[in-house]
Amino acid sequence: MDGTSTKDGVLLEVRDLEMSIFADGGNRIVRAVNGLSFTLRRGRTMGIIGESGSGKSMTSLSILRLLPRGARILGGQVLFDGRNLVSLAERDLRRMRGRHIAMILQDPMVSLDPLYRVGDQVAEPLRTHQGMGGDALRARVIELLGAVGIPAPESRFDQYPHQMSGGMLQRIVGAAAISCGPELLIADEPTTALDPTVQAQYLDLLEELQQRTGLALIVITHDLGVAARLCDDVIVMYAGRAAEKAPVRTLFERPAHPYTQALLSTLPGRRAPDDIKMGAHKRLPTIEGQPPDLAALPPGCPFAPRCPRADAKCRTEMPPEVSLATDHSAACWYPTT
Amino acid sequence: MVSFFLHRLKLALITVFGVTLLVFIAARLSGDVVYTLVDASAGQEEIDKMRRQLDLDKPVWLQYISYVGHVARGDFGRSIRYQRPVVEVIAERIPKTVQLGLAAFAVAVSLGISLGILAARTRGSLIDRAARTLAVLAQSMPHFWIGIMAILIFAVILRWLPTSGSGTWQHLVMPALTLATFPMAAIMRITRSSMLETLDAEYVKFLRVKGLAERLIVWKHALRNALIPVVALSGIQLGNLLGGAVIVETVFSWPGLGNLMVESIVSRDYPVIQSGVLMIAVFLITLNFLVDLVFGVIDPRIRYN
Repeated sequence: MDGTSTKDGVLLEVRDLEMSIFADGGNRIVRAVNGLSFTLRRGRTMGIIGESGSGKSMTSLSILRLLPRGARILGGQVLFDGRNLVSLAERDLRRMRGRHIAMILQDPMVSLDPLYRVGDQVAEPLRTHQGMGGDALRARVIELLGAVGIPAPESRFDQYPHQMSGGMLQRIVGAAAISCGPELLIADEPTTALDPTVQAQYLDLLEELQQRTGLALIVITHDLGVAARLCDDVIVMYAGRAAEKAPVRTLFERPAHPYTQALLSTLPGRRAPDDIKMGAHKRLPTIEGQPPDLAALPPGCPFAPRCPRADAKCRTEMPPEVSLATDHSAACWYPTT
Repeated sequence: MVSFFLHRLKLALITVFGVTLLVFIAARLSGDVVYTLVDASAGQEEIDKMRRQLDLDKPVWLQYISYVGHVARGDFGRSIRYQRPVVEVIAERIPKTVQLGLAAFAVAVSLGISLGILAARTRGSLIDRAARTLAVLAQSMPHFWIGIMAILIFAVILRWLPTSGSGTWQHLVMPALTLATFPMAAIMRITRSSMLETLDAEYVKFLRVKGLAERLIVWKHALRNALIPVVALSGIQLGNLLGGAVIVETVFSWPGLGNLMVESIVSRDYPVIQSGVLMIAVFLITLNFLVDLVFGVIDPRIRYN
């Protein structure tokens, strides 16, 4: 790190973010993100973990305001470097995308346009945001392809996506994402679609890129191993809310929220605390019950129906976010302390 | 590429062979041409003489072999009705049909694709619903009905355009538009759905993530991807235009190939029917081959090498 970079400065601050999807002509309102707040400092890595449908991907799409059809941000702020992205004009927001905030999507096999050469697709942000062109652009793209670990990048430039493997494509996507030197990179399930052997290599690459460029990372994953490996801080999401926020060590060593505890105990070789009731003892443990329907959330804590500690209060009143230590909080009436 | 071409050529020859056989038999099933050529009072001797003259006295399979032999040497025979070489009779009709077909195809493709994109980009709006309703209407009404209505409204009542015939560009307007309705609607519908599907694709999302201008996303990336099924359909529709031309040329007395085919079937002019259908078959096969080549240009995944 050079001396002038404000490593501890706040890069992204999400405040009370609310996003809903209006389906069936507005008759069904899916409350995907419900009052989420978190802070990300420059150069740090934040993990957002949770089950499918917990709102983690919707959170990342809300930050870039690339919402699915029918989705609307109903409240809150997304402050990036002090600018509120929620109220920014579409034009100005487009200048942020790919230049200051980049994103890697889940499946590299479908992230690139099949009809254009991969080199051209890596070049697009540079062309759009920095007005580069000609030989300089080609040279820069080849340099980027080399930087993400693609062997013989000159010969890869002119290939098409169908001529490459998934791991290679994810590197291409990574090269396109970091091409303009963004301050924030959001990786949505970056390794889910990759072979296990390639997964570890890709995580190495992300770490290396971060060390070299000092970018901040948001890693969205349902894989606790990925979170443990990459993240400084972790948010555990449940039903569109932050169930627990903690530094990664704290989260694994002293989880406070019953949902986090249940989640951790599903890892092989871990045991649930005595009061957590787990199903299927002879196989890998699972959490009993189903996540709530986001279009019909209960009035109280959304985890209450599956929670061993829940009482009448939990079922009727939403628990506030309770601070347990510096950077550690849980939205629970009865957190483990 | 060469092996691909040879393979296609082999398939084409088999298809053409099958087509000639079918048409040869079907034409003869439509009735005996001899009775359209002799007087009603003609005696058996006269009928037999005429049959011998036309080489129709031999068994059908011998006639077919002799026909194939002649065709292979480039001899397509003489028209019974016009008493001139078939090649001449057909050749003088081709430009008219090409003119009509190309005009209709140009209208169908340009309107169909632009309306399809417009509908997709304004999904759910009044424009989208109007375009879709129009497409369903256009695909539901048969050519002869649209043609007759057009004549009634634009020629008889409004007197803007000539009722039929050919010669000036005004003569071309109604037949071309009538012929264009069906393919235009088909192309519009597939463009719309293909464009919607493409705009929802993950790679389009990633283009947005990269911060590209919407204009670039739609016209450079989405459209090219969306056009793949549109090209396939357009090729089929260009072939279907020939079928439509038979009806439309008859309704508007347009002196093209379709009109000639109807006349020849009515007068049982076997050589013209056979060669006309053979030519249409060769045209369609060539067309399909060209469509496959266009795929290769659009989509790097299907380049033949």
